[in-house]
Amino acid sequence: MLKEINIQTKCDHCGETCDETGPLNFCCNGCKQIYLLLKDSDLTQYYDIEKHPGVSRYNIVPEDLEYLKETDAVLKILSFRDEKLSKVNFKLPAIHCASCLYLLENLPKLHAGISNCTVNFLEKKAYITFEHDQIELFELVSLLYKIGYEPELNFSKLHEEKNTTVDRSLLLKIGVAGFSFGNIMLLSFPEYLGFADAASSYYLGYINILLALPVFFYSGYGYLSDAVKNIKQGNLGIHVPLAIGMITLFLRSVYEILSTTGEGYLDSFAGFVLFLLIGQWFQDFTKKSIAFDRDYRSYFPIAIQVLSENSWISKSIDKIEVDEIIKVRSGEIIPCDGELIAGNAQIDYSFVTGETTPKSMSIGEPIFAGGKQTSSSIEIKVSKTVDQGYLTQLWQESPFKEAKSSKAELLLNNISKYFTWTILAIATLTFLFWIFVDVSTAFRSITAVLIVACPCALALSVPFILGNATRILGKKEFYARSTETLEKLLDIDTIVFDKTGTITENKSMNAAFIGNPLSATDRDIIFSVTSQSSHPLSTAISQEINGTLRSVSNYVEVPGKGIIAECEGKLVKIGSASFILGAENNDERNVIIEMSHQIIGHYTFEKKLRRNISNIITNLSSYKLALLSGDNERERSRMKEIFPEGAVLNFEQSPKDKLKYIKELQANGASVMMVGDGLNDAGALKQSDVGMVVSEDNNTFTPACDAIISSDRLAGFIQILDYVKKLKVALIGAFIIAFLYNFIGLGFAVTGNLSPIVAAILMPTSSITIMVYGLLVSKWLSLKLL
Amino acid sequence: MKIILLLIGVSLVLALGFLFAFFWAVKDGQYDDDHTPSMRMLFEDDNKTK
Repeated sequence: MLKEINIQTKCDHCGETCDETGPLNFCCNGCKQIYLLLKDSDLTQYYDIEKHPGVSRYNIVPEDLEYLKETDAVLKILSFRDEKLSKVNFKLPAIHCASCLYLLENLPKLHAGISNCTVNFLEKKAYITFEHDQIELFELVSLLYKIGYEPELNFSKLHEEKNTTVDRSLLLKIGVAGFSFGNIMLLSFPEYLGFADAASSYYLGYINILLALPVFFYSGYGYLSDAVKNIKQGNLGIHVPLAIGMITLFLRSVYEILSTTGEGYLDSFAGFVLFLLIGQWFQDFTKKSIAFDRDYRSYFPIAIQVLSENSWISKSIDKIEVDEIIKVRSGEIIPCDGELIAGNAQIDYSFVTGETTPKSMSIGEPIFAGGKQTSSSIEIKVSKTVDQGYLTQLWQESPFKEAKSSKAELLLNNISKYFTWTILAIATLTFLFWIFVDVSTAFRSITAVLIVACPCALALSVPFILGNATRILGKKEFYARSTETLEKLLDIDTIVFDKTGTITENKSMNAAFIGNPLSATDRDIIFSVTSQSSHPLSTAISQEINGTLRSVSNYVEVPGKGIIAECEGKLVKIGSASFILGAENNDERNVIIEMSHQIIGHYTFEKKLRRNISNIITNLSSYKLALLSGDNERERSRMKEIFPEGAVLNFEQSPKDKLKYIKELQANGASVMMVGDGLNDAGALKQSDVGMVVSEDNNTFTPACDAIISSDRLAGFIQILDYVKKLKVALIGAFIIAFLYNFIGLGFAVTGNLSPIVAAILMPTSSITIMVYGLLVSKWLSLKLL
Repeated sequence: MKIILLLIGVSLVLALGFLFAFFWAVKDGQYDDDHTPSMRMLFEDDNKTK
């Protein structure tokens, strides 16, 4: 392989640029180690399938896996275990290409104890079987770490349901219905074409009944039981007329065949169930790698260091008891409420409140669960166990306990109520008309009306239009939980925003200098010093200045306080007020700059607004808008510029306040959409009619919600709303088509002339028309989406 | 005309065979993941060279 020396080379493992210029280059030792490991095991095909398939090992912090040695935790994580074999499944968020698949499925070559590994690519999951006397769980996990695929291990893993059997019954039902439909149709042909003599049609009828039985009792059973449920709730939803149609079709056909008065409509019956099932299957589509149901457990680690008889041991967090002392290291989430007893606490409560500037805490102050320690390790004396904590109590609130009740009746259900009554009225009238003429015609026509009015096509319109729209929107990085989410989106009149992470970006901040204008040299000095630090405020300052680097000496960083360094002969101090002035209780958000013992000014910070956010908000001004922020009032003026006149702006809102606000809006009859991003919005997201989460990338944790939108796509959100509105028109169009077919059918039925061949043509045609119409119209309307 | 009933019987038995094959495939989990196998088939089969 030839390589130009001047061209920057890329790491052969992960594709990061690096300085080496050999035949094989690695950006860091971690990548090289993986390469060597794979080479030893003859797995270099990993590098042939995709270029630079690895994940950069540069920023990986080794995790403490000690807790995986505890039998208790192990048993909870494993999905199966007997004397010899253990089975476990892990979500590996790093899975992204064919090489990943190749490497993971060849895990048995890396360790003899692993007997099998199967990957589900779309779900990003690996199912691993291993012999636990040869390789223990923690060794397996560290092997996964070593090759760059960290499993997602958090508290919720301990609560996962075991041995969940996949529900495959829908596919089986479709299989049975398809089998019966095909065969009944085949056997009905001689009859339709007039080939059958009396004797053979007699047998054919019996075979048809046999074939139709499993369709009625197995494939169609779900619709019948749903209808019974609906009637019990006093709700004449779409399932009721469907079930009436199904039962009438089946019973009349069986009666005709057994009494040799006709050939029945069993082919229409089987086809009708088949189409309904196909619609259901089409609607059930969801993007498998996206989880909509995460709760606080997904945010917590599995285990934490606990002091036990003068040594630190790791313990799974549901076993932590009151008065125990836990150690929380930098970057870890605090799992339970307690009191700070040692260490320099700089706690980022952004999960809980939305405020990201870390809060300093002194010894003895209370610390709440959900905060993230940003400085060095701290020790906390636990005052409440995990389930009792401040954060977890949000989940004890009502919206998490009861299923979402939809105030807005769904469109289809609304229509089908009237539909059901109309059909029953027509059927009765027809019956009353014929009963005086001829009793048998009366029975024939009332059953024919119930059969032909069966809203099969109507029932297919939602799955095919909205189901297909859900898929199309998924490609545009707007993931809806179900088609119901789209239907609810139609009725929204109020949109409530969270500030941090929604209106503003989560990570980057704007720094602004206040003081006498800086000279070019001073700017470079501040730039050079702040570039050395990875503290978010330092990063913000150095990004703001972006000058030329000068050499810095005697650099000292006091975590959570500030920096002292020498540069260009000047002693520079950059840090908080208490650090530089020695003052207490000053605003910790400002950073003061001191050069050669003179204060020359300070920096203030604010979160960067999301790109185009004011456009996005202006476009939405036809809705009632509101903002709920955990932050304090200082942002009000900036938010006022973005939001139109009359929008409600509430600050200093706790997660419970947000939840309460949404409830109040709903009590006043509003249909509310909540747009948020973090755990602090979890209650509000759950309570609102549509809870949408803005996510920076698909791998970050999102709380339970109805829809997820990628932050890059937020600008196109108004178009998505527009698209959904047009879909409503399309849906009404589909309803009209469906009704037209019903009317044509009714024309035959009320006169008592619905022959099996007419039904056999009419019913599938109407279903197929709606399917094709639904697919085309949802695609066509989506062409205008960016 | 009796022959047609025999033929229908044979065709039904065949069709039932396919239905059971479908059941077996679904229960075996072949329809659980319809994406990964399409990627897996592209790998070299180097197990045999060992």
